[in-house]
Amino acid sequence: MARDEALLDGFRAVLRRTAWRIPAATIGRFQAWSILEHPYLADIKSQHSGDQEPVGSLDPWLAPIRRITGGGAIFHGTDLTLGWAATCPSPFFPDRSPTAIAGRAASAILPAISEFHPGARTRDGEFTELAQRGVVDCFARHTPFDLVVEHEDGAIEKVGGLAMHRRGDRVLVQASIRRGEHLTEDRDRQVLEGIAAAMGAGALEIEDLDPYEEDRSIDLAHARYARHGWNRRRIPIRQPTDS
Amino acid sequence: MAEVPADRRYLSSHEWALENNGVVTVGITGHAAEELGELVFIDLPKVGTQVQAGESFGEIESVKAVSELNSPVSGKIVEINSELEGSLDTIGTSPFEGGWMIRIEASNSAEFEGLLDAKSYTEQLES
Repeated sequence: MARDEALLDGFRAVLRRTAWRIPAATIGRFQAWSILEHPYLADIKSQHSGDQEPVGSLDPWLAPIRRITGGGAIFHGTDLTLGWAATCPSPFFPDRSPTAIAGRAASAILPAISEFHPGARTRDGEFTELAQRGVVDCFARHTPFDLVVEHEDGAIEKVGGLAMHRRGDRVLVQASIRRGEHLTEDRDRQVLEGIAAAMGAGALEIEDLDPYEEDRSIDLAHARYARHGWNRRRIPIRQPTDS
Repeated sequence: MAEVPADRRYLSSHEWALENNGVVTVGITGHAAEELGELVFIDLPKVGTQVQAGESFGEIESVKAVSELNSPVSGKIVEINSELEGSLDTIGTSPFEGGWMIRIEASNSAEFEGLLDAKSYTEQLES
């Protein structure tokens, strides 16, 4: 997460992949820490507990970490996790509005994953973020720019989700894409190159951090992501719902 | 075109500032509120917090996007709009009145004078 935020504080249009040595859960910027007691995470852990072996001295599960982007909790470890930063407005993201940014990002991801998730499209429809605020799992939430596939029985499966953070004239998009049976790690580069090609806006770099971003990520890891004060921070003013 | 009151100043990032006896009231413009869409959460600083011109003073979440709110001037927060608690819709329905967010005791009046006036901000919206 620190490496993604370092891209936001940088100056490039750049796309990177996060590789997970051990599984982890991330929670949205405004989600309560207490949601980690939710059965969602316990279920995920129980489903995967047989898969995990300690990596060196590391716990087989990473401590949950708070993102700077919005939305719900995501289990990582078997997904393709992307971080994508650019100046906004720019040819990459011509419009500053969150819906336009998400639409642009989704439209670039879809052709890049079409081989692995045939028929993938955006969910479309109305925004109902407020009503879904209590839904813990990102993949159980419905947003018009979700990436979904429709199965033969008519069931809609969410295969990708997006969240964003806007800081000044920069934007960070984070995406989680489910792998399915075809999107193996050795195809990740193909997806990243597909996204860059679909953006069609010049040099979207596919690489990890430059020296400035590397230094910034170390600062952010120490000042933010490694601290309880960030990960367990208070939940501020919230919009009420009727429910 | 969203309303742009002539009695205040603006940041290009769509915050407005209204000065009264050295205290600057801050909110986001109608254009910004419309752009954000349905608001879900807002995080504002505590009274007494020092803020810097052009730096983030809070964050707001809508449609899975967290957007930072930028302070037009430097100084000390002397009031936050507690009425927003439970009523974030006010930011969209009354961005220039009931939707104000913070009041800052400004430490440098020149910063306020350096902000965009309504005409310049309108030109930015139209460009």
